[in-house]
Amino acid sequence: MLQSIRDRSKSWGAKIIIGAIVLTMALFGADALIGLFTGGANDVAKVNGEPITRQEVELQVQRALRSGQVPPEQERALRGQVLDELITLRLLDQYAGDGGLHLSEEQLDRILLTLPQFHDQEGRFDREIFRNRLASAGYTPLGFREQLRSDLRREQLQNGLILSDFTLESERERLASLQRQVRSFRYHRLTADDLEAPVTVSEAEIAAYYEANAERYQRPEQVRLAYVLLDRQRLADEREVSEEQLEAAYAERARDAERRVSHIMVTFGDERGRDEAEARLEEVRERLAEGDDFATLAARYSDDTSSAEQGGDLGFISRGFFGEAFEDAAFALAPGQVSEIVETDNGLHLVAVTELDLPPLEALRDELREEVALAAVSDDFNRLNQRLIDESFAADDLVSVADDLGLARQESDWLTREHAQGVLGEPGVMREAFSDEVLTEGFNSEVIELDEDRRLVVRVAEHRPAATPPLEEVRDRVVAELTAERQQEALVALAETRLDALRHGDTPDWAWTRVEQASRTGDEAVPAAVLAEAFRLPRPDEAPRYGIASSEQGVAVVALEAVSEGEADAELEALVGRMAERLRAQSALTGLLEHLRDEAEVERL
Amino acid sequence: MAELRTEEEQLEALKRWWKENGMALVAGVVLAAAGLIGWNAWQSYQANQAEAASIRYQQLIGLASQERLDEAGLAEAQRLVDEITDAHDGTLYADLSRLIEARLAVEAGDRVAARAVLGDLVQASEDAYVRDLARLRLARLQLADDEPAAAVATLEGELAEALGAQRAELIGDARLALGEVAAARRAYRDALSLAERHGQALYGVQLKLDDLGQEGADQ
Repeated sequence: MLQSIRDRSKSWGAKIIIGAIVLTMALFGADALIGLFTGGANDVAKVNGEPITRQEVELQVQRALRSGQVPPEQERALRGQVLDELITLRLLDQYAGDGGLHLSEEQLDRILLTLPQFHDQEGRFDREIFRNRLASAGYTPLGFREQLRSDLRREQLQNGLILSDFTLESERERLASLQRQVRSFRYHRLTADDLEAPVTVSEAEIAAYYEANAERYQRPEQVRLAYVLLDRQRLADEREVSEEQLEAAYAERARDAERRVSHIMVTFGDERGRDEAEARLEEVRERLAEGDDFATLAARYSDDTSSAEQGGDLGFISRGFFGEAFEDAAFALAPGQVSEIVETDNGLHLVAVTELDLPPLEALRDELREEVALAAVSDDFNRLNQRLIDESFAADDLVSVADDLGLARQESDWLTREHAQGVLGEPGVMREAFSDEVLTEGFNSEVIELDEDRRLVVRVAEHRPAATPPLEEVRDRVVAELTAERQQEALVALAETRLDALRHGDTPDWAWTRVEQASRTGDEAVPAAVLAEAFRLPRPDEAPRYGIASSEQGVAVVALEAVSEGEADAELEALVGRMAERLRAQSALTGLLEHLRDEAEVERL
Repeated sequence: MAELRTEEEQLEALKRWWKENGMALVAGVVLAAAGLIGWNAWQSYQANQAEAASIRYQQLIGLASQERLDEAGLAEAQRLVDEITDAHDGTLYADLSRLIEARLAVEAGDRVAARAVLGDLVQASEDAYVRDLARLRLARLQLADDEPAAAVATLEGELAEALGAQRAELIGDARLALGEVAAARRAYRDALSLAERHGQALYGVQLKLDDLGQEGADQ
């Protein structure tokens, strides 16, 4: 072959080709040429000859996993979905590209600037935010632009298909008139009592039914779990709390409780000097010491006339209204005590506390006990949590861990992945129980953080795969279901003979239930199957139209008597028109995808 | 080149080679460069054209997504449609713009214009799917104009399978308008089963079917 190239290289054509190759290499590097001949090993699919690479799929899978919306055990299924999705997108991209849909760099720039995700607080594009957002979502700026470009192109396509659809007046009118139609009918329910003989089922029939419906009786994969729960609340409940601790906690509360205060205020200024004012309050203090009543003294001495009349009472106060000096004094007092002289902008005060806004200790006992106990077990909880993490990882069983930590090892009943109660039914627990490590390998689970206060470790005590239980175990259910089915058949057969008689003019003395002018949506009193049947029957002429409504809820004979136009409803009319249009546009879109898939050559490698 | 021993000889050989082939190489380089420049110019012309179409189309979409268009808006939309179909014929932009043009005509109450636009698309669009969509919409206009036979003719023939459910519904409407109740019922049933097979939802088909009543109950 080399020889033949050399021979032909004498010719002008070949020389020009070689020149072109040299130039290509010089301008774009050897990669451009090599890329033409290699590659392909990394492709997972080809869409009309265009490859989708493993990296593209992985990138999307990782993105989805990182978003946390997909549990890791669904990764396999996810990978398949991602590939399907990428193929679909590629098909649309190709269609849009072939059709000449295009977005230039300038158009992209302009749109990028308007995206609110990249705006700062003033609503302007921020380069820094742009870069950070992209990085955290796993995009390079260039990759993001390309993605945005295809998104926008597809959007142009979709918009064109959706916005070009229309609804004609005649179509709207027809749908609305069907939708608002009302029908009057009566119905009679047939019950087991109407049957000549009760339905019976034989052993052979039971066995056959069980065989035929084996799938329905299948028991899903189940586990029995052993588990250890570390619960801060339980630790606290078990914790001893002494009377002293309770009192200390109560005192703590009392210190900051709102309180009712009284005061005696003496002002000073032009008319009276500070010394004089102080002397006046000292006098009050002496009289208090002699046993005089604060309220009486307030009425006599206080310059705060409005409170003086109430014996100095200011009502309940909390911090933040009366100034620091006044409040420091008030919050340092127990009920019945009177403060030293306090100075504020208004003058000098004596402050007394008359009442605390705090129930007595007895009423708060339980609450305080819990508060004290929770605070006291905090360290224990953290220490036990750490030991639980370490020991459950190291141990080959759960018993030793539970014993070591002084926690109870509990066991559950048989549980399925979807149906677990109590603590085992909380999010994430069964996922952990059915994980490879726990289910297959038989290890203790990781420590599951249920919430701030609870940690759980589970271990599979017993596991049984999905299986069909023997007939004896599910016999009752089989008999019940088979009987119900047979009964319905018998009732339908009975209804059919009655129907025949009715059509021939027979008039049974049934207690018909009448329904006047029911709309399609009906009312709850009418069984759905009856209503559906009434709207499915042809319009009656002279005689009513008869039909049978059969559902799991029972069997009924329906007699349709009249069909009429419901009341015109502009709102309804607009609604049905819009709904029909939206669904049609949706079908045009999904239809395009299907069409492209049908026409395309998709090769999965 | 093991036979060329000294540097002198090698240089001599190179010179000879250059003398024999130099012109060809240069010509090759020049031609390739010219080709590249020409290609780039063509590409950038194409890109400019495509950008112009894209911008116009985007404006049209902006207008078409408004709840109601006034006279001025309609005129502006029509101007854009004309520009796009004139300057960018053969692109999807042109096809989609014409589909939008038909809708605007329907809304303006001009079914004749809408039918003309859709009829054009059915004849002339290069895109099979657009042609099929246009056929479905044209048939609906024909039904509204009380021409069920024409609608049936429009709907006959090959059509994208994914649009089969919509076609079946329209055939049902047409058959009913022609008084062929049994055929209409069959068509509506087809529409329901096709919609289910393709995972689509069609509003109203069940209502239309129910309204005809089941066969056999006609006695």
